[in-house]
Amino acid sequence: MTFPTTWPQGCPPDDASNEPIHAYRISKSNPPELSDFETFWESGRAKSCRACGLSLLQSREAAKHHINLFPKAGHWIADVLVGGGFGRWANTPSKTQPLHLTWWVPESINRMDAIQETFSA
Amino acid sequence: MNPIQQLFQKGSTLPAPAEVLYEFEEPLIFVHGDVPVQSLWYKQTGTPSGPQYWVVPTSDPILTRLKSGRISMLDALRQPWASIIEIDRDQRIVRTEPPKEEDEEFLPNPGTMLYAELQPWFSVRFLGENLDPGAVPASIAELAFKMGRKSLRKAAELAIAAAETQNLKNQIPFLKSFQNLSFGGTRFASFQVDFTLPIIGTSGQPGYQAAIENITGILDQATRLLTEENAAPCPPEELIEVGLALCPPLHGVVEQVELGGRLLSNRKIPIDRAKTRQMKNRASSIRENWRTFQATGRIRDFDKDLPGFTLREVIVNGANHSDIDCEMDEEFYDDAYDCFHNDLPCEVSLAARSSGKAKLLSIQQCAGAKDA
Repeated sequence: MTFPTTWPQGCPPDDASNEPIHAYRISKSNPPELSDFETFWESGRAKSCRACGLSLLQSREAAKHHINLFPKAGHWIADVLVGGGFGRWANTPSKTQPLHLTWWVPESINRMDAIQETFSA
Repeated sequence: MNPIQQLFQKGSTLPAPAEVLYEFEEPLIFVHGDVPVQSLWYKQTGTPSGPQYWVVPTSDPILTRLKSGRISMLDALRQPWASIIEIDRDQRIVRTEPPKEEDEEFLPNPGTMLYAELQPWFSVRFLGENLDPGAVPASIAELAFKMGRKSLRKAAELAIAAAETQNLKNQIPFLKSFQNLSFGGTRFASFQVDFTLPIIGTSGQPGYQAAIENITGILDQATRLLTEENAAPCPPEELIEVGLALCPPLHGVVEQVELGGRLLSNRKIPIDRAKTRQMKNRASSIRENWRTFQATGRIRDFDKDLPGFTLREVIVNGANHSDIDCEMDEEFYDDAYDCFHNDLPCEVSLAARSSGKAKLLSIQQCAGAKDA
């Protein structure tokens, strides 16, 4: 499993897990498009290791709440299998977002293949 | 120019927020400034050039209420002044102007709290053409409390029975808390009552998550009965009772009930009187098959939350009988409690049901019981 060499050194962090788990990402389209799964690194908005990963939420309820709070964020919730063959992840909670998770996708993986299902919010 | 526009003028650079209230990949809701000139920033949308915010004046009391779940995000953003402020990637303000009508579409959905855990677990909202504060008796608001409690109590009872059957005893303390949830608040002038969990810091304990899924499943089945034409053709009687408890009364100013909350996956589920009639018909057809009988005995275990009791020293048709677990409606509470509290023998009329507990149809103290 190799990650882009252009990422900051030590990214993803050593303690990032590859255990397979389900997590949720909000999407504007169904099926989700690559633009729904673009990292801050890819869009040029930030250059940190966290920005190289995708932000996900650990519960569908938290994703649904996010959509209610920001109705224009998207109307769909993608159930994503992270870890396993699909890269590495780490719990990255903050005081205001305790269920935040960061998912780093390897170079050779099509991240859209990790989507298991997409639900209407 | 409103006070917000005076503070944040085009061309100036936005300082770092004083407090970030919500972030996901970036700060999305935050506070700028200190007392007395504070502003609340809510990210509405992002353009390739930069984000656009809905900005309003705020205060410590508003922020305290927002962070504790006493007001919704939309409540906090509805202030006498509002501005739309757009900034570029270098944090420079490039546009500041009053909101247009289309900007309203980018605001949070009504009733959404700042954090998911602040959403009520269960909410009951009454709707009706003539349902206006000041125009209806307070008993209407009381009915919303009673309805919420009754439906949750019945759902929790079913969930407890399922947990007991599967020997999942670690769920039971959590499920019992749903039989009498804490008061979570009322929405101003809307006849909405919210219920919340009294337990703090228990979410990681064994059985908690499974208990939530258990009772969520029961309520999901009950609401499907009400909303789906082809849901469960022969549902259990207890599930019909949960469904009936969620329905609006057939008469009076309450024409519709809107259910919501985390136990319903934060969906808004409207239930009208047509559903009440359907559920009453289903309940009646089941009750026609009830076998009723008389019994005497003493109430030795009394469950005030359910409410219900266990009748012991039972005699049916002049013969000893095993203990009978009974449930009852609120109308029998005082009489049953009196028999329990004073250990008085009582005579009851009961309906034996296909599953679970017998239903109390009437209760009275045995003649001369008090004198004895």
